[in-house]
Amino acid sequence: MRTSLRQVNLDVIRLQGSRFLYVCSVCRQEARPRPFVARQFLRNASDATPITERVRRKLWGTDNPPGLKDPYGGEGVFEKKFKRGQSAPQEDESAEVTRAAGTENAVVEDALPEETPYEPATTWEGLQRVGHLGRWSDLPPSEADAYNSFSSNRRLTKLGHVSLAAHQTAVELCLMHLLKKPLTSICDVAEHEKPVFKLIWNCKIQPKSNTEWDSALVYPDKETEDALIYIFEQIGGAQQAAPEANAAAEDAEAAELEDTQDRDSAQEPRSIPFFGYKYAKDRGFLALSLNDPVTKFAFLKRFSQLTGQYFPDPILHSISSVGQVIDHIKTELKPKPKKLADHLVGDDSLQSLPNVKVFVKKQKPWHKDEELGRKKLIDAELRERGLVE
Amino acid sequence: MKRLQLQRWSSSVLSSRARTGGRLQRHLYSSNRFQSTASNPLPSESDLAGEQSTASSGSTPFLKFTKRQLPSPPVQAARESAKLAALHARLYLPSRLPLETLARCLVDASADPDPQFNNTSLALLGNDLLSNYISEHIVCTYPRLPLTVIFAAVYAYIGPKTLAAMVREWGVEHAAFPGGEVDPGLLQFKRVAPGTDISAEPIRGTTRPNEDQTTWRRSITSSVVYDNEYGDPVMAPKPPADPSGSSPQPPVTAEQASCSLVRAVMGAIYLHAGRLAAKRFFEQHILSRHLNLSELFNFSQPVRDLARLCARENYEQPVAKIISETGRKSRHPVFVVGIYSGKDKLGEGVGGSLVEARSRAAVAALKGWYLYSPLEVRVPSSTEEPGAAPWKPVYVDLGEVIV
Amino acid sequence: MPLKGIRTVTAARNGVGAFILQCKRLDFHYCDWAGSSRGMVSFLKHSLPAFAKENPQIEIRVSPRPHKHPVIKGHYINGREKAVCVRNLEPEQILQKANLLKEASGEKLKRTKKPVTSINESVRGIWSPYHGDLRTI
Repeated sequence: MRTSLRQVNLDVIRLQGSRFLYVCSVCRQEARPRPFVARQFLRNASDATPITERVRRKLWGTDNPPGLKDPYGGEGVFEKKFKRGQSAPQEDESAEVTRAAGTENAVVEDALPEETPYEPATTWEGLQRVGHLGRWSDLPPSEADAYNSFSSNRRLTKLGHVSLAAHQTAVELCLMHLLKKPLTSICDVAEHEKPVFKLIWNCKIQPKSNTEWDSALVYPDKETEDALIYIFEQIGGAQQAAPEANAAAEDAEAAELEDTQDRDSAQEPRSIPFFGYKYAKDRGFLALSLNDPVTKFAFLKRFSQLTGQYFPDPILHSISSVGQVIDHIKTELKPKPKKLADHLVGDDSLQSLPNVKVFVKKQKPWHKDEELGRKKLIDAELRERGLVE
Repeated sequence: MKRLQLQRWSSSVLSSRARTGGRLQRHLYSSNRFQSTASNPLPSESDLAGEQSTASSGSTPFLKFTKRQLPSPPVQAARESAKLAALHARLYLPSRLPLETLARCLVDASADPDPQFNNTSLALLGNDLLSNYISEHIVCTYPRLPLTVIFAAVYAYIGPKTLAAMVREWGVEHAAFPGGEVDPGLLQFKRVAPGTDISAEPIRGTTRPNEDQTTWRRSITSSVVYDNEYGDPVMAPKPPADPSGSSPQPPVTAEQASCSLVRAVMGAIYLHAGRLAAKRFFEQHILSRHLNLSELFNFSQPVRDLARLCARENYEQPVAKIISETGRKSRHPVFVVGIYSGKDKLGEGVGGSLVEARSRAAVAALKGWYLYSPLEVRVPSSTEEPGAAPWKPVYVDLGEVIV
Repeated sequence: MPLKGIRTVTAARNGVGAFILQCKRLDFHYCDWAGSSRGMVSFLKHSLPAFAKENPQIEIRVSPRPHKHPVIKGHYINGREKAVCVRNLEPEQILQKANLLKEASGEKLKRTKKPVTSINESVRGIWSPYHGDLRTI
């Protein structure tokens, strides 16, 4: 094993030496082995027993002293990796080590091909090809190539839209709570059809207590309630609907079809977000609590999907109601002042101090004259002498 | 006096937040003036806090329009002035003294003739407090001081020159000309035109009878009755010609304006924060200044004075004796002379001649007598504290010898 | 009149009663555009509120001065002023400069050879050759 490692190392060096003149400096830097790796190679580079080993042998009086073979940190990462692959040639290893690594080695061995003595290649023939070598464009598209973005690709920046999204999310989650479905499955529907959205828009939320989501929803009439419950029955409910009647199963299939259609329509660029609705009719959703982590996660996921606004972790932690989500978005949407004076004027900690005065404009000598009351004297004098009209 | 009564009085004195008098700008901008939020004529004590909050959010557009016409900065401007807040903190003023009152202290009567906006009333109160505190301190600490030296000491502590120096050391800047647009943190007064001889005209209209008889003798005791705390003649109060206060006030010097500022601050502290705070302010800013009282004496005939003093106090007649001498025949002789009354040495002096040394010794003896100070000094105003011990009369000497 | 009083003025002893800080005003000038004001802008944004709160007795004015290096200017009670250019300095260094200006007396810098001066009389008195045990030779 050690010989092979050394040869690999030497090969790298030789490679560098041969191409030294033709590689750009950046690439050369990257191709060079990292120093600590080199040091690890060096530690066990020689075949001769190291001095520590010899001292140990002398101390114990035998050629096979007990204890660790290398008490100074063991072997390097690379060696361990190699050892895992080539457990066979290490007959001199103690029995315990093989026993400890037994199961893992067995698994790895299955995957690896038969052990052959290492032979450095001199030509590229017979080597495994990596990459496409210019022909990747000819390959047919695979499943992994398709990309569906989770959220709409735009960030909503108008406050009305944000509140619309929050309201929609709240209504959807209330329905999901009501129907006892997995909350995040609502994210499968990127966008509703216009009539469905209108139904949602007409709904109101009046939270009776902070924790109740399922009873907070208030429908404008019975038809809306029936329609919404019928629609949301079908979302993400395939497995639950299965034991029910066949008709329901068919419905579910139809719903899935609809879902895919929905998804397709979501791919197309949408000209107006929320079908031209400008604001949410209802304000009651602001009081809804997000203390339940599952609800909170579902809400923020759906909300992010609808608006394209994401939440950093510390904010995420502190959010406990829908109102706070909107507040955070409000602060995010506020443009940052470009000029320092605007920043300082808006800074409450500075404005609360009575001894600080922030000027937006450059202070000129006439400002000082004005402050001292001298300006009107100068003005009057100039007028008197006819120098100023 | 109880503190509660003081507070009530203070609010009535300081109630004049709004300009109610018949004023020039009121005539000119009467329609605008009534839009002011601070036009409450006589706010009660409870209104003061609320008024300050409205003052800060006052109607600025109307202010911009009339600022130039106002004789002194509007009340609302006090909250926005960084200079004023810094001055408040620099003087360690109590937080109960609002910035608006400090701004009022900075407006001299010559800048704003309206007594509800200038510091005249505050300065009057402050001057009385200052002279009361300093005179009781001097008299109780040095009970044997002659009256002229007491006058000089009071002048040194709270005289106009000292107060002007204090204002300079407080870092108060002077406005070039008073007006509504001026920063309220500046001392505002109408300046005397340059080149005016201030001491040209003789002082007329004092309270002293027969003031035109300049040849008559004016005894030092009469100045206790007729003169002010420094022994200067007091101007009799003139009958107010125009009760509305719109008559132009005569311009004043920076020294006079500075005086009224310090006095007004003292009065304002007394009104807003009470007697203890006023006393603390007095001790921190005035009593802490250094004065060597022994330098205030100017004897003309110390040997005679000492003889009279010993006669008055029934001591033996003072006798001057040479303690040591050197170089009597030389160009620079030095004599050390001691003055003895019986066996007690009263004083000792060094001089180039025997007469000089003797008079120096007499001066030393007189100063030793006059500058006596009891070990425990208690002033009458200390009995005003709630749990103070009753006043025990202190010993105050007859004062100087009458020759 | 045998005895007259001499009119003088008491001498101020700053710190015996009240201590009045000699720096009465600090002006902070910065430029929004120039890179040499980067540290100053950061200082004004983050450190100035704390600095101003610590020193309520100093009037602090912040004003832009476009196309110029950032400057801190201190105005003192004796009428003098001191200006420090803080171009390209870090916020911590600027805070040091501001503290330097705050603590200065406003006088010109001079070497102090006698660190203690007093207007009080010497307690011990001055030695006199005419007193004490006179020895005859």
